[in-house]
Amino acid sequence: MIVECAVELSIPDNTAYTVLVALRALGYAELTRVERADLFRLDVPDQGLSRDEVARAISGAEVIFNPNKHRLSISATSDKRTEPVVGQATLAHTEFEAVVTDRDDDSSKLTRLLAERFGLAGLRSVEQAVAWRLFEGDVPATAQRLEWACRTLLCNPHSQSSIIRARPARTPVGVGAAVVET
Amino acid sequence: MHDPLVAVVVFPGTNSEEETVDACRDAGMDARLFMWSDDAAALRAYDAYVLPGGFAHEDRVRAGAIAAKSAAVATIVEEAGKGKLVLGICNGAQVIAETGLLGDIAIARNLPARRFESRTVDVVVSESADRCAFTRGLAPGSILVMAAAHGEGRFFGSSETFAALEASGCIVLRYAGDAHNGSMHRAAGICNAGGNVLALMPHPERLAWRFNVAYRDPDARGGDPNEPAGAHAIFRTMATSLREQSAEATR
Repeated sequence: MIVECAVELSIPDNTAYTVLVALRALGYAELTRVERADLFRLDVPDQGLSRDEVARAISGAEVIFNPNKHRLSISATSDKRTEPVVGQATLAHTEFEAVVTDRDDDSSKLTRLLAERFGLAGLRSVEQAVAWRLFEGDVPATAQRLEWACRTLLCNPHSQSSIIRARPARTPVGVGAAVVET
Repeated sequence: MHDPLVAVVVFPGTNSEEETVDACRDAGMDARLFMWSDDAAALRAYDAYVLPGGFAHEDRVRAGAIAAKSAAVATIVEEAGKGKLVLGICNGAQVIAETGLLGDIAIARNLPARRFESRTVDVVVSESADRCAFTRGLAPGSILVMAAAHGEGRFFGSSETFAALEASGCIVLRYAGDAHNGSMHRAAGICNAGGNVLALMPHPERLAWRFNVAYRDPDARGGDPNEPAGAHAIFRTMATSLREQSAEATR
């Protein structure tokens, strides 16, 4: 089972603001807001910890997020790796996000730390990525716009890969408590 | 003949501009700071450019990514296409890689450490040093001690790309022994096909005077501590190349 944790800043995100300014300067004048989340895809055994137990362990460990400045949420449909949607899904009202992943990354130290010190027994791997969302007013940017932003700034194709996907529903996780359904 | 005019370009977050200017001046170049927000067209008056180390725009998105999109860097890329010399040191090297001046190469996060590392490193001059304006004339196999200080310093690309770099001799400087940052082919400095652009991850300007290097080099002890030494050779070579360019242009 893949549990995808999203860590977002609850304080102002200077990196997202820099991207907003840079993309506007590069020609995307309609852009008004950028949101960013660090993604951690945890590969745990199907018969091992439940999704809620993983969420509790992550929120209690405070290794990949700090409750003083971050919000933690987990994907509600995280039982398989996400696939790119550009060219397949262009449904109106679909909220897209660009997910950028470093190639040739190595998260084995983080995997060992979470597995051996913070109760994520059986954790097989952690894959890290960054999810970007762009907005024109209150309207999420189209997949084509996100693809352009990746090509222009957000993804270096020589060291990273990117996919555009429908944003999964995410469930906020309370600090040190059970998963809070919204 | 006037001293070669060199722009040391400063972005928000650059932190090595002063010693870079000093290293250039001690090599006989007329180095001046150029702010990223100044009129980029004014850069065309310079003979060469140095993108110094630091954390331009706080390394947001990726190291060098935002600076690489600036008007100043766009102008430098154009001038590099005309053969002007461009030296990128550390963060400057990351900016150069982001522009595509080196081809299909990225400078990625250190592995296996995955974090910032600061240490002195021995850098070996490659057999192909003569193909680059910043290493021409340096003895192949000789070692320059430099200061590595980066979290994203791993030269990275496909095996085909690096095979082509090897075939063309573009990897002009390598780490002696294993690369601490996991850089492919132990690359510390890679030049472009024209030899006029060098992306160099470790800092030569931080170990460029006797007082910097005497602690480990007995030959550098005594005498004037402010005399250029060690890795300052990169800047002397740059100055020599600029004078040769100038002489060529007036011939």
